[in-house]
Amino acid sequence: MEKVTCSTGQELYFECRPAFHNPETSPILIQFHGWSGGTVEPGSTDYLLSFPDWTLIRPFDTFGFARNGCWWLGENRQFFFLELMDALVASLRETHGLKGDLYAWGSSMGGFGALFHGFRQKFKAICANVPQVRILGTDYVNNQAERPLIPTIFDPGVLRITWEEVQRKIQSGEDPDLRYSDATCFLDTENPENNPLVFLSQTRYDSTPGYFTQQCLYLVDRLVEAGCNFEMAVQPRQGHTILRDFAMAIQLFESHQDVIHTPFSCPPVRREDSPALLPI
Amino acid sequence: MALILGLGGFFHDFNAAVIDLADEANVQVYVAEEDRYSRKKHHPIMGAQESSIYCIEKCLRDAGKRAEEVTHLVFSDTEAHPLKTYLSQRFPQAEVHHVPHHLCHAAAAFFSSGLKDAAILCLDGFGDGKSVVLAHGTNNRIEPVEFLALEDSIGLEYLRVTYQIGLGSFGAEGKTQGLAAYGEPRYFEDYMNEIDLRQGGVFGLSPLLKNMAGYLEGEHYIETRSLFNDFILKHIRRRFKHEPIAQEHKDMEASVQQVLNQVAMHSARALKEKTASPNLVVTGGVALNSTMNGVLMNSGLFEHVYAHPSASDRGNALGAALYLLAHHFQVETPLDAPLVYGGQAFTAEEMETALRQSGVSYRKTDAPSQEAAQLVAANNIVGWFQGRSELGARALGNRSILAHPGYADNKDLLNEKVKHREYFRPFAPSVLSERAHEYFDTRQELPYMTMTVDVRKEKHKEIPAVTHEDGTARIQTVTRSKNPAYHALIEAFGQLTGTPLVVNTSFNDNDELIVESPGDAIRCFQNTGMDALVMGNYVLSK
Repeated sequence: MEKVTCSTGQELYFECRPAFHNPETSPILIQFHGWSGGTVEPGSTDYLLSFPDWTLIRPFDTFGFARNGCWWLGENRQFFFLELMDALVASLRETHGLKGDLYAWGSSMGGFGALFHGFRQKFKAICANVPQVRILGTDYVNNQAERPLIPTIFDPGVLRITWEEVQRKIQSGEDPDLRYSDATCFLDTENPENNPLVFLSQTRYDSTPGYFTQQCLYLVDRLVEAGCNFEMAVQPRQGHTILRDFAMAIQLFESHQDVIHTPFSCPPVRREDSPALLPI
Repeated sequence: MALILGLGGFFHDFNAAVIDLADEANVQVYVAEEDRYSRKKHHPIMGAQESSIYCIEKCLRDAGKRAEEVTHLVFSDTEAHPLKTYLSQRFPQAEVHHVPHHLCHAAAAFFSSGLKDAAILCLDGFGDGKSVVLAHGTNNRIEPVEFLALEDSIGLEYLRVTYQIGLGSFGAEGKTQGLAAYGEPRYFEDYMNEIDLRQGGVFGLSPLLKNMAGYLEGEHYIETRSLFNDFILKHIRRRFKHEPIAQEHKDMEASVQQVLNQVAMHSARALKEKTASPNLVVTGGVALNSTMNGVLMNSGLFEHVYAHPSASDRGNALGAALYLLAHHFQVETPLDAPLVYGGQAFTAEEMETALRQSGVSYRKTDAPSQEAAQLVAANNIVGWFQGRSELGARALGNRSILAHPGYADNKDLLNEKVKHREYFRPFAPSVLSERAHEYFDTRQELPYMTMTVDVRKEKHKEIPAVTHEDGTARIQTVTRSKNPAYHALIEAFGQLTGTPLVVNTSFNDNDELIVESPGDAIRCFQNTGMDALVMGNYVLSK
């Protein structure tokens, strides 16, 4: 177990298993775990022997309510994970000499983390499984997860706020912090080919009503709007579950190397020109 | 005549039992635990798994019976389960029965205790929507007195503390018990303010203690919802495994242990009043807590306290079968003691084959007990593999790692180099039954390592490796009649050193299953810091 520390003292613990072959140039997969997945239980370590051509990194989000995770953002409006993730990548590059391309996999809360940091740090590709994309102003947070979570990451003042209100507060400059509640806030809309290739998997009927449209289709809209390339798999199932694990993500990344290394974008779609886009 | 197949452990620790009633005067019992064969610790059941049938085949094979001969299929738990459906189809000719989860615990314990009258205290995590049953066992019957609901589970509360302190999840509660000795129970009073001890031996947990299932309902794939509560979070900072254990964590461990002792005593007192029995049988998963069992024994409330060695769900197949035998067939239990050495045995040829295949060097001996005693006396750490493997959670001298109890360093050495586990984990002694009272404050026969007793103060310095931080030890008394080879080893060790006991810990690495086969034993020997292995009549050294 290793750790990096940010300027305000928070520590991010992580496991690093370098690739067995050519670790300096091998691709690096960062696995963002879901809520309460950072408990460092002695579970299976089989993965340590898998994928010898990949460097596997497992960071642990031990912040937020009951230390179960803060959506890879921070606590009390201190978004220290931005600095921690920068420090983590710097540590891989400088301390470990790992210069390979960065990839991310995450599920649920981990899907948010994979998207948020993958867009921000310009990863090559992201595999997000049933991710939360907006953690304010949606049914997921307002009906399911808000009680212990949002006050810890933001403050009780934004509980049960509507998405329109979130947008208004951001755009008016009244509360710019709220932009971090959207995993696509660092999407590069000017140069869409600079964004990671996104692989998205989602159940048709998630446990939270409205999740499919408010989280999954919202992400699709944002990607279409920006002209980004992506893949999407909707499984005709119910529930909030892992449809693609990190091993399946690696297989996807390996089978799409041509697209990943020769990125192309589609023309951006202007909202007013596309009635198919959902209102945000 | 009837052939009963009992099955239990439909959440974890899947297990089977066969009772052959061909000769009512000579009823035969066979038991097997699936994880011994699957090598998956606690063998969790996730659905209708065909892989969960080896223990059934093993029991039937031992009994010399075929699947078509099973006349009665009896399941632990009344709840439906896909594996039950699947298994019912495999035995279409059998009459199917279901026995409530906690009555299986009670039956497994009472009907193998050798007692004819006992108060039964079954403290558990959960099962069939309940967590506790208080019952009265007389001759061939068990009558429940009280049930407690799942949400008032004291077992789950103990697990919540274990989890919040980063010691692990299900199955790691023993670590909490070990660490409790290092703390002060400073949260005890606050804790008890949240527990309502009611008449009749029952109790209720306040909303502050009840689990947080309401949180994050959307996260259905997370199975840890029930492992949090506001009380613990209010008092201590949650710890992760890689972080140091702070005093507040040790104090919380000590507090929840004292709470458990208090609650168990409350129920035991009510049971005494209700049943007027001189005997107490303790069972259910919580009864693996030897500190609590020791408190119950030392309270003097009962003349005799029996803590069942297979108290967890791994005993429920036998419990279901024994319950059916008693209540349906009206046949008296054939057991006068628990089946502790009921696992597999291996021949010399099988051992030699495994040795050859592994490529290790070895030699033969005609006196394995004496050889092992000499090695332990010379302060070697010795693997000891003899006879049939043990059933249940404890190694009782057939699949054991042994060490000299006279060197304090051996505790750290065993934890660090052999078991690869936390520094605070204590080690238990196996002591000659006839001399146990010289070292420990007990005159009771305690053959199953289910009770913690005080080490006599004047002996603390002689046996530091088995004297826990609080001056106690979880002892196993060994008799010549029950385990002659192991008794001979300890006796020989006593003659060499003057101390009639050895350190006995299960033959496995941390978080692994106890070894079953010669191949398992050789692998574990090679991968850990053991100095020697005595397996049957073979000796391996490093």
